[in-house]
Amino acid sequence: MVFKDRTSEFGNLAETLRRKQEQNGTISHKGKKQHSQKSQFSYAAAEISKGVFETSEKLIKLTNMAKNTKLFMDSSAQIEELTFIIKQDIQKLNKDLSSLDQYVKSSRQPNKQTGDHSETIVGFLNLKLSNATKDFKDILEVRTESLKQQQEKKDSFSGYSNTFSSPPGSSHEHPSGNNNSALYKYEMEDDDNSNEHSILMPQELMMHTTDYSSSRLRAAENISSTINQLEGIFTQLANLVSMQGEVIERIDSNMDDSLANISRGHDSLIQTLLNVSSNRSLILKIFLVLIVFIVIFVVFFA
Amino acid sequence: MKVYSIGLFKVVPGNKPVLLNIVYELSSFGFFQRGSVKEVSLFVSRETVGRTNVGERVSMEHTQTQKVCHTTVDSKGLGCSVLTDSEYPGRVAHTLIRICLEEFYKVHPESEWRGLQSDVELQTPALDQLLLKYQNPETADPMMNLQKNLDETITIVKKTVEQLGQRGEKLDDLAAKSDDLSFQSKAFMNNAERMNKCCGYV
Repeated sequence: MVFKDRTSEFGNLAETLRRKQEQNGTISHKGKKQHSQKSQFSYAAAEISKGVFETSEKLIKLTNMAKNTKLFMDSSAQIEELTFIIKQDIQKLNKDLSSLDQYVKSSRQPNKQTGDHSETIVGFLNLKLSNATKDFKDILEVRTESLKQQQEKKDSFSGYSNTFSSPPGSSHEHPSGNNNSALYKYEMEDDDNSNEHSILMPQELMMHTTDYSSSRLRAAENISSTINQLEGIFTQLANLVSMQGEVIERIDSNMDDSLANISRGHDSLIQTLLNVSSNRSLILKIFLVLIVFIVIFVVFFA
Repeated sequence: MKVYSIGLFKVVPGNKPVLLNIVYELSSFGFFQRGSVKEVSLFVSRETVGRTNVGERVSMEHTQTQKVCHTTVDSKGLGCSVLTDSEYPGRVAHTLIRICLEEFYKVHPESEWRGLQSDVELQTPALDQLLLKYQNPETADPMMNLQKNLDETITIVKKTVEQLGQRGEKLDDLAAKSDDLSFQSKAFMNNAERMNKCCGYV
């Protein structure tokens, strides 16, 4: 799209209009006043917007610094300074903006448009400033969080060294008349019962807190796992017993078989014995042989 | 594993705890040591109870002499402190404390000792019995008792399983022998029948 820069034409038109107005003296005077008012207004607005812009830049810098703070990189002095400066800037900007607002409201604009325009500008600057203030507040919150975390980390690191370095309180040694010296020699110091589970105080005492519920839980869990073990063992027991039962049945059937076999064999052997020991077969056999001989004799000699 | 003393104190934050009752079990110490041991125990109990916060369960161990002081302060301001050796399980000690507190409340209601400012001796016979009973934590504490019984049961059951294994082996042996026996008896039977049926002469 081809565009043509017609601002010069517009400028010329404005000039001609102005010259025409200049011919009417008072109007031009007012115009000038308006113009100066406008320029004053625009000048103030420009100032304020520049201030807001600068403040937001500083805010960005502050954000970076606040996010970067680690345990040992302590730029807190810088951060404090910057925070202070930003706060001052914001306050000044607020004041300027409110005064500008007053100014706009008080001075009556001839044109409705210019009035609207200035009001819009004021509103816009207000919005920008409130954004900047909100960001500033967020940054402050983030900073307090990180400070708290730093403090916690410092505590956990230096907790031991603190208790080691703190001086012991009154040391009580018990006077006793015997040669066996007192059974306890205590060096108690001001405890700090923190929430940790065990605190090592200088070489003499060790304190455990709040272990009761967890140890009970552990004991109960031990018991339940023991019972589970027992369950496993009993199941194994039952399996073994059933397998052995089958083996026993096999043995039983084998014994029955062998009993039957042996009894039959025994019977037949008895039969054989009877057969052998009885005379009948002998007599039969002898007669048979005799008859055979007789037959042979008769046949051969007949 | 021994419990040396049970002490009950009235604890008011900011002041020194007031002794209400204390019982000792010092048979493990020599006769002449007992006096000083009593004093030291009282001192330790008082100090520890005084520094325990309400509702907190503290077990303070003295590493050199291997003794532990368990304390608790309940919401009514009654504190109980138990001195044991370091082997005694802390959990059982705190159970003992809880029971002692209950017993004490049964015998001496709060009104009796609330206003006391100096050490007194409110007799509570139950404490002596508890002290004796808890010398043996395994029988006194039901959880440990249960655990002990279960462990014994498991040992016995394991032995049983082992014996069952041996029985199984013997049974397998028997089964093999009976197999052999039946085979041999069959052979015997066949032999005898053959002998009987085919020929009559030996």
